[in-house]
Amino acid sequence: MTCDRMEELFSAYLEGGLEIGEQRRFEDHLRSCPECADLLERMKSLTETLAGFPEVEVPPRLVERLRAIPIRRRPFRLFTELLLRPSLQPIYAAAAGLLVLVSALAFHPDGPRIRREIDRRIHLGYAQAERLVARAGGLTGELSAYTETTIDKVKNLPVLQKDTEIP
Amino acid sequence: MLVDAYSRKIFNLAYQFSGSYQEAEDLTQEIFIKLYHSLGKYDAGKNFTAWLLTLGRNHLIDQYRRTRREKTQRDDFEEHRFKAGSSADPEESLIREETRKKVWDGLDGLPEDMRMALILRDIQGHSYEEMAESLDIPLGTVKSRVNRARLQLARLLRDRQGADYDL
Repeated sequence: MTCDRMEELFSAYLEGGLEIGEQRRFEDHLRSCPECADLLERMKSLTETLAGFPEVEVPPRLVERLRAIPIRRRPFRLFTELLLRPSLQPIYAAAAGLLVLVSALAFHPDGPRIRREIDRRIHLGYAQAERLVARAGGLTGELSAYTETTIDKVKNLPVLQKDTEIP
Repeated sequence: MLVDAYSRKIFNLAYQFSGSYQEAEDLTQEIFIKLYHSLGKYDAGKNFTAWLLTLGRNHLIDQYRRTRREKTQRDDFEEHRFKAGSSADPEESLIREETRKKVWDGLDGLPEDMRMALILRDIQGHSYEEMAESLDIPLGTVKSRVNRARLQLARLLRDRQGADYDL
């Protein structure tokens, strides 16, 4: 086992992560290589020292500052969260589209002609809608008359007459 | 409350990484502001501590990269209020404090990724799996990074102290 390969395994060895065969080869090398043995010992002491570093206390003034953060920022956050709700995105998209359309109409060089054309189309559409409504009204009348006639016919069927004799 | 539950962990991480008590206060405050802004992005199905650790770790490394040229050195070991465990033997206490001071100063000699890996693993005692989750890197990479960081720091301390250096 080379020294480079040994160094790759230092942590695994210290943490008991080597397989039995590998551990045996590792320890064989250690016995014959003072440099690796010295470096491993230093690494072991180093990890023990780091593990013994105690925690520091949080300064009370910092705790106060941290507690003040959400209180100061909450109104702003609520407002922005309200504005950025995903459910409002289609409304924003529609508003943006409308804005583009209005801008195009207002500032396009052929604006008056376009507006006249739109008026004409709207009137045509309105007239067509009126015709459809009128036609639908006529159809409704025809349907009512047909329904009444059908009901009369059914009522007058011989089988429904009281004095009809059943053969 | 988040401040009560996590300020100690974040403050210690910031302090161990930056080496400056004053800087750690500012960094902790910045991390909490980021936390409050990012809470909406937290996936409730995930480990909150790991998520917070990722946020804190990213902020610390980003800030370090931005300001590394302005940085001088870590606080003196005596200043930073580590409450060392009491020992019956004063000589033993002195040796341990001296060793801690060397290791503490040595942390600044590591690249930021290695320093963070060493702090998370050896000082804070996180498992490799937790680190892989919070650092968002494969388990094998975490283990290899921790091993390289330990090796580099052990060599650095050996070189600083000369042949007589002994942890």
